[in-house]
Amino acid sequence: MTSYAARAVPWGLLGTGAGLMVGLLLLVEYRPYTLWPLQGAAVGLLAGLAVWCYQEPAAVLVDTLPRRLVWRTIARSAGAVGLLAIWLMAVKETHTGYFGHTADVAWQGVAAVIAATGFMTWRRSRGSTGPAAAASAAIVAIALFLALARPLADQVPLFPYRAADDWATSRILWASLALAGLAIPFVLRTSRPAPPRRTGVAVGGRWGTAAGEG
Amino acid sequence: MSAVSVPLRTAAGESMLAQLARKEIGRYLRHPLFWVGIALVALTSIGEPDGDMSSLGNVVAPAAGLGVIGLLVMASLVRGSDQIAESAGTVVVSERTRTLGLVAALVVPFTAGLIWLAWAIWAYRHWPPAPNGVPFGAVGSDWAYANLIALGLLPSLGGPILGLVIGRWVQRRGAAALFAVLLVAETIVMQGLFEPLRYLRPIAPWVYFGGPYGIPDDLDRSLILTGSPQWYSVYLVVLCALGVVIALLHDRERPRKNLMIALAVLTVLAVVTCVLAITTGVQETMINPLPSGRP
Repeated sequence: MTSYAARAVPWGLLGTGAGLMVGLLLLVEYRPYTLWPLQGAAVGLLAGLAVWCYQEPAAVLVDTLPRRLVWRTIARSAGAVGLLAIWLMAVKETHTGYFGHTADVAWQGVAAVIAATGFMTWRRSRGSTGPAAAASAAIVAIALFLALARPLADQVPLFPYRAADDWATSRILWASLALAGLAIPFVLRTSRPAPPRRTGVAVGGRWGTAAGEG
Repeated sequence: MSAVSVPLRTAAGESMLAQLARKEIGRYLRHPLFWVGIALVALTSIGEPDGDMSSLGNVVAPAAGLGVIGLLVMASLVRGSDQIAESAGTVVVSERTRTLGLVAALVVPFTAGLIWLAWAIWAYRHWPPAPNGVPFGAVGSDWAYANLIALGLLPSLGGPILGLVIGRWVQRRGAAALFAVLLVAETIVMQGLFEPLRYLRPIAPWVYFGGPYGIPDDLDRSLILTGSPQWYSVYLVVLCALGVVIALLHDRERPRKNLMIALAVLTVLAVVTCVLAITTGVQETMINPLPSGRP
C-alpha cells in the first residue's frame, strides 16, 4: 500500500500547495484583521489539493487488477492525511491570528477535506476516472469568491470574521458539509450500480471533428 | 509534426480562425464555472450597495467572479483545446491559431463585465455614496467611474488572459489553481494596507484607490489613496495586450519576430503607463473630514 501511495499521489503538487497554504496562514497571523480573506483561501486550497490525491487517469486498467476502489482510496488518502497533518500543525502554530477560534478554523479545513474526498470517491464509484482538475478548480474558485466578496455573510457565515461573528452557525455549516461528504458516496453507491468507466478525452468532440475536417 | 496555418478556409468560405473563435466562445459560454461566477456576481449585486462607497464597494465581486474564476475557466479551456488537438492526431491547426481562437472567447467574460459595469454606474448614480464615504472633496465621479472600469470591468479580461498565459506556459497539473491563490494573496498584500507599499501599489494588477482605510482615531475613516485610476485603467489594458502576446509566443513553430517586437513595445508602454498611474492624480493621501460614524 505504501509503494502504491508513493507512486499514485502527486506528492510534488501537494508539497508545493502545502507550502503556499502555510504561507497564507502565516500572513493571516501577521495581520488577521486585514489579511483575513487568506484564511478562506487556505481552506479552499487545502480541499482543492486533496482532490488530486484521488485522480485515477488509468482507472480502466487498475479496475481489472485485484486492488479494489476501497483499497485504492485508503492508499491514496495518505496524501490527504498528510495535508491535514500539515494544516493542523500550521493552524496550531498560527493560533494567535484566529480571534480565539483556532479549533473552528482547524475544523473548516478538516470538513472541507472530508467533503472533497467524499465527492471524489463518489465520482470514482460512478465510473469517472477522477475529475480532479475540474473539482480542484471549482473548489478553489468558490472558496476564493466566498472569502473575498463574502456574499450573504450574515446568513451563511462560512468564513466568519472577528470574534463577534456567528461562529456557531459556521460550525454547523461545516459539520453538515463533512457529513454530506461522508454520507453521499455510501447512499448513492447503494442506490444504483456503477456504470462502465468513461475513458479518453470527453471535452469538445465536435470541435475536434470540425478541426479535422478543415 | 507540421502545422498548417491560417488562412485555412472551410467549404463555406469561413476562415479556420473564425470557426475556431465561434467554437471557443461556445465552450466558454458552456463552462459550468463561468456560470458559477455569474451567479455569485449576481448574488452580490442584488439590492442596495454599501452606503459609504455605493457600487465602488462591489468591485471585488466581478474581480473574483469574472477575473479569478475566469483565470480558472480559461486555463481549463486551454487544457481542453490541447487535448482535442492531441486527440486529433495530425495537427491541422497551429497552436497560435488555437490561442487566437481562445482570445476570441474573451468576448464572453468581457460582455458579462460590461453588463456589471452598466449596473454599477446605474447603482452609483441611483444610490450615491454618503458624504463620509468615497469619493469626497475635489475627487469626483470621473475618478469613481475609472475605478469601476479598472477594478470591475478589466479583471473580466485580465483574469482569463492570465489563465491563457498559465495554460500555455505552465502545463503542470493544478498550476492554475495555485496561481489563482497566489494572485489573490498578492492582491490582498498590495491593497495599500501596508504603508511602505502604498505609493507603489499600482504596479499590482488590482488595487484600491480609496476606501475605509482608517486613521488612528477613527479606524473606518474614508481615505483616498495616491495614484490615478484613469492611467491605471490604461496600464491594465496594456497588461492584457502583453498577456496575449506572451501566450502567442509559446508557439515556436511559427515566426516570432513580430511578436517579440510587440512584446518590447508593450513592455515599454506598460512601464510608462504604470509610472503615470503612480505619479499622476492624487499625490497625497486624502482623509475625509467627516468621521465614519462607527465606533
